[in-house]
Amino acid sequence: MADADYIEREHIEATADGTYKITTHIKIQNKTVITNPDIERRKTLPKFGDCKNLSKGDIEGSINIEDKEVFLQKSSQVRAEENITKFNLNRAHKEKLDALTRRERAIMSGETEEQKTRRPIVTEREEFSVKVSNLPDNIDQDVLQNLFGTAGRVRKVFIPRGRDDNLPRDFAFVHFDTKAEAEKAIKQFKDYPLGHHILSVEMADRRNQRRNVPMSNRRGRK
Amino acid sequence: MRPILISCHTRPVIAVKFNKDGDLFFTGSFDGKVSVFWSEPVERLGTFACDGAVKTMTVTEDSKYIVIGTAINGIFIFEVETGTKVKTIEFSSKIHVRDVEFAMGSQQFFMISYESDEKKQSVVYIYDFESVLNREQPSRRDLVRRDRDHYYRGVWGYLNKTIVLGTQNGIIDVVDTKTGELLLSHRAHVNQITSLAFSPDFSMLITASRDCFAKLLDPETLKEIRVFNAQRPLNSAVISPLMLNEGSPKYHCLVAGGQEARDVTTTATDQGGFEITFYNMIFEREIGSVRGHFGPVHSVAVHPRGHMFVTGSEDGTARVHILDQDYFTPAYD
Repeated sequence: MADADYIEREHIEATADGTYKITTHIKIQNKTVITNPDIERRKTLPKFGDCKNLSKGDIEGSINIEDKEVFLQKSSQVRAEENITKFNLNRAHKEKLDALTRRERAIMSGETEEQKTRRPIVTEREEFSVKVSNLPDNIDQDVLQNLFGTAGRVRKVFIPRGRDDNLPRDFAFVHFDTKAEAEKAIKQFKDYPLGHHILSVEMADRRNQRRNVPMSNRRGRK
Repeated sequence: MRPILISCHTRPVIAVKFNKDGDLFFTGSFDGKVSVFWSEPVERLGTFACDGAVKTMTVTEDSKYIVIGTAINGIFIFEVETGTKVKTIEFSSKIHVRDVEFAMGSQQFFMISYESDEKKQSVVYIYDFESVLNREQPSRRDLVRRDRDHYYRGVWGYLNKTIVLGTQNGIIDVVDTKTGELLLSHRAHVNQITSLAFSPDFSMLITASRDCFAKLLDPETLKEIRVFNAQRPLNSAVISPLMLNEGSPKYHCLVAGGQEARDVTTTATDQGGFEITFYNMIFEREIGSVRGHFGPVHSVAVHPRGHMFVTGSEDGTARVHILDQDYFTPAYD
């Protein structure tokens, strides 16, 4: 047993039966620890700056171990009650986020704020309307419908009425389905004599006309 | 566990960072000082004195140099082991440094700045670190400029191919490092993005924002994978490196924040939300929280081995938490 990895130890033990010589063989195991030389070097660095005068091992008074124990607390019970509000918050956040993204996309695509606010007022169906002015007194809706029906399919004729006397005003709007029909009507009825009046016909400003429509509907129902 | 309380600083601790080996950590404060500590056992190695409030800092991978960005006094570069000042890059007082970070390999670092002159732009510069050390005038190039909405935080992407930038209104931009071209842009948050961090293997990106949410994003597409609702303004979110642990990985992320400093006096300490919360990233579930700070937490850093973490807070203290052995049992999965 003269191997280099073993150590032998002998001792003599005396008992009632007699004396024994006990030999112990101890095996030496080499354990290798891999260390980072940089870390080892940094462990022995001298201190600098505010703690220049201190040596390694002197811990400053400003570094303390907290008196109280702190745990990673499971807070499942408390949070379960808050889940309802949490859901609402999640939804509110998502809505906010969506609104902002929509707005950014609109800005990126070149739309301005003004156009965006005006958009819902405009109906989805395309409409082309013609403003007919200098109409004779007490003009009937059917007369205009028949007259402009020769230029194209008339969707609607609207004659605004005065606010005070509820009498027809001297102009009207005629709505067509297509732009071509509206242009044809303008061409056909320019300076057209109706009764003692000469009509003047032009493309209607969509904004003005739209403002008038709901009012007429209200009055019409009465 | 019993955390170690570090009260070396006289003003709020804004930034906390570990070096790559994990044997040192750094705390930067508004009082103009950055302290270095040995992490095991916790003991202060030294301080770096800068002029002006420290906002952000970054360390090279070999832990030789530290780059410190201060609010308006420019960038300071120190040797970590001796504490000697190597270089100061000064700017005019109209340039505010928001963030600095070293790229992988420590050859270059970026600086996000906000220029409060007439243009009011935020600019991302890339510095060549070798020229910063050797030359009088360091070579830099400006990568991106953005007006209206300013960049606040940034992080280098995988293999330094991209830089991910977060703005003050909650937009995340991904920018090509070579050309400065905007590759992706996504609105992730409603309010300021306060922290951006990659997982150690660059497979996930975590953001924290003042709109009370932390989000886990896919860095390729910026698609939202998980959303964590913390119900308080957040300042920092990091992914624990234990997710790469062989055998028993822990897919955890640490999220911290709290009410703004100006609102703190009007509320009780337990309502402020100054605790550090652990979330399970797979189940989107809260695991638990660690209390202790009495001011909003500005920064969280996890040791590269994942067994300890450091937090810096508005209350002027930093805390070192060494996690108990129970944390590594399946009860906290």
